[in-house]
Amino acid sequence: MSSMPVLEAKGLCKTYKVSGENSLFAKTFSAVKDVSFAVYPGETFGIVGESGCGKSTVARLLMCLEKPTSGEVYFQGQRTDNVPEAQRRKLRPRFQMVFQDSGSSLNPRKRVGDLIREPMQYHGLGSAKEIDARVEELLSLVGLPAEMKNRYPHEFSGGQRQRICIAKALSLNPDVIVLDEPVSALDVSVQAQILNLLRDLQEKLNLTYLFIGHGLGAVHYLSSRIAVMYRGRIVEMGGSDALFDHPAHPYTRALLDAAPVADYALRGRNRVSLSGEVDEEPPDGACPLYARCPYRTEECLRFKGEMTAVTGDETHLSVCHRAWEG
Amino acid sequence: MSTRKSAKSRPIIKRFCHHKAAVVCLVILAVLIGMAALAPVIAPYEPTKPTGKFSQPPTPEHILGTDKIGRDMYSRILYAMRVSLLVGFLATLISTAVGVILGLVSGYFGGAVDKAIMSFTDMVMSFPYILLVLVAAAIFQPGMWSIVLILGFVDWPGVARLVRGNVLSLRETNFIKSDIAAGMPRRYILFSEILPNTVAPVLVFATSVFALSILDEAALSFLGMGVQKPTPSLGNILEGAESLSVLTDKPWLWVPAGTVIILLVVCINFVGDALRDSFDPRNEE
Repeated sequence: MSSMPVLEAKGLCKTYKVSGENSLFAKTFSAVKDVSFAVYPGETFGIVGESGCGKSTVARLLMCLEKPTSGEVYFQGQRTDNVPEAQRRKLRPRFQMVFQDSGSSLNPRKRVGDLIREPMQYHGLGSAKEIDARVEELLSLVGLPAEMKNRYPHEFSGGQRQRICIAKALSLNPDVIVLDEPVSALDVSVQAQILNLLRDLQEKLNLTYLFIGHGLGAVHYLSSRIAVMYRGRIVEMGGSDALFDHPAHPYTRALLDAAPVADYALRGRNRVSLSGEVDEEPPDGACPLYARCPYRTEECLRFKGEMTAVTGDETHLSVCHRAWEG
Repeated sequence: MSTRKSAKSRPIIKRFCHHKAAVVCLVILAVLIGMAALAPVIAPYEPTKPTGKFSQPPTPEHILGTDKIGRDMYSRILYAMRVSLLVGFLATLISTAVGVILGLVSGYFGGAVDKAIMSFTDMVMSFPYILLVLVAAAIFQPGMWSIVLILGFVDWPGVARLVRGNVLSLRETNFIKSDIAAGMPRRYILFSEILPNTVAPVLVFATSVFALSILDEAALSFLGMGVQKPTPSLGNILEGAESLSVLTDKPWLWVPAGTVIILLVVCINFVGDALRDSFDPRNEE
């Protein structure tokens, strides 16, 4: 992990105005607060969290589809969030994105072949003949017959459309692909196929992924490192197995314990469950989980937001001052 | 690439044919437009030259009678349709082009540009329409070309709003986002992705603008501010109906022209309605 990160977020914050957009008294909502992490070549970095925790906003900020309120985004060491779009455009093919809703990710009026071909043509990735061949190659790479290039997006199922989106992202030979809940909208059986496809492609093409999801299983399956987000913050970050085996933050524990378990032997274990709802406001200056955490102490009212290493593992970080005792 | 067209357009034609009334209207429209186009061939007389007695009721020589200075009504209506359709078509073309451009710019660039364009649009929309047209017609010299320009520059706000709304919703779709992520240029996003996805609603809206323009041309010409005599237009033929004695005693002077206007407007609107339904793929049975 000594090499340069492919994608890096430094202190990312994003606030939205929620009511009365042009009024002086507009209320603001912080979707992302002080998020920092780095994705290294060849790995899959997972971000997990419940709906509305800001994980998709992080994806859009990294893709420079939105401007961060503060903080910096780097792609292979180059700052990308504050450069003019014209300059960024040359860099864009190297970081691609797959969206959750495959239905709206493809222009309904174009043939699949054209959808994949056009970005390659614009970026001059070969002659017309070469690009044609590449389109067919990409389709078969994602497990679709090459003849399907003449069809329109609505003629495909959700899973097939997601394969097309992956082919489209691959067409520009990216170094990293941001996968924003790529399987959340799919049937469980199809989810597994897509996850396997993503894993195979990673091996074959030496890709780097940033995988965003709310399903723990999917994130665990693909990711080598995981960050857990809650209310716009990363609350815990660490190696996939370390995080799953020894969660250091009460929220991570609750998230893991909330997943249904088939194994009867595990059913009686001591579960952590949170009271209340996500939108429960913590008191000013307190830990974001304060209102819901069963382990809160006096000290939790003075939340610092610093990530500290969990005892015995320097890559495993948590914002919880209690650095989980177990 | 012949399969490309048929694969997509066939269901549209099929869905269109489900509207029986619209198919009938389309046939009527085709006949009327055909008659207008062939006016120099099928018109029995010169439309601007007196060829019979004054205000003569229909006879075998003049099947729709003659007007008050003895010109053949049938020939005049044929030529009038040409003028009215041409005015309607050109006015629609101008207003649609203006509306599409302003709507695209307004929706895509947003911010101050959007505010300025939309305020201007609201201003044009809130102006008493017929008054604006009358004043404009009085300032510029009345005539066919000024009518085309006036109507063209008055009818665009509806199109502009429609296109802007469409662009706003398309801009938020993932396929535009993934174009931006793929580093595609603005011109590609605007003209290859957004514009083709707004063509269908614009086309449907344009049919109603077309019908409206024909009505407005008739109104203006009826008021003497439109197409000037001796050139016939459906509006200035109706001028005779300003007098009560013509209305009650000489129906051949206004019934045929009035009927043609109604037929044109009704048929165009029906076809527009059917087009809207057939462009919507959700109407697949």
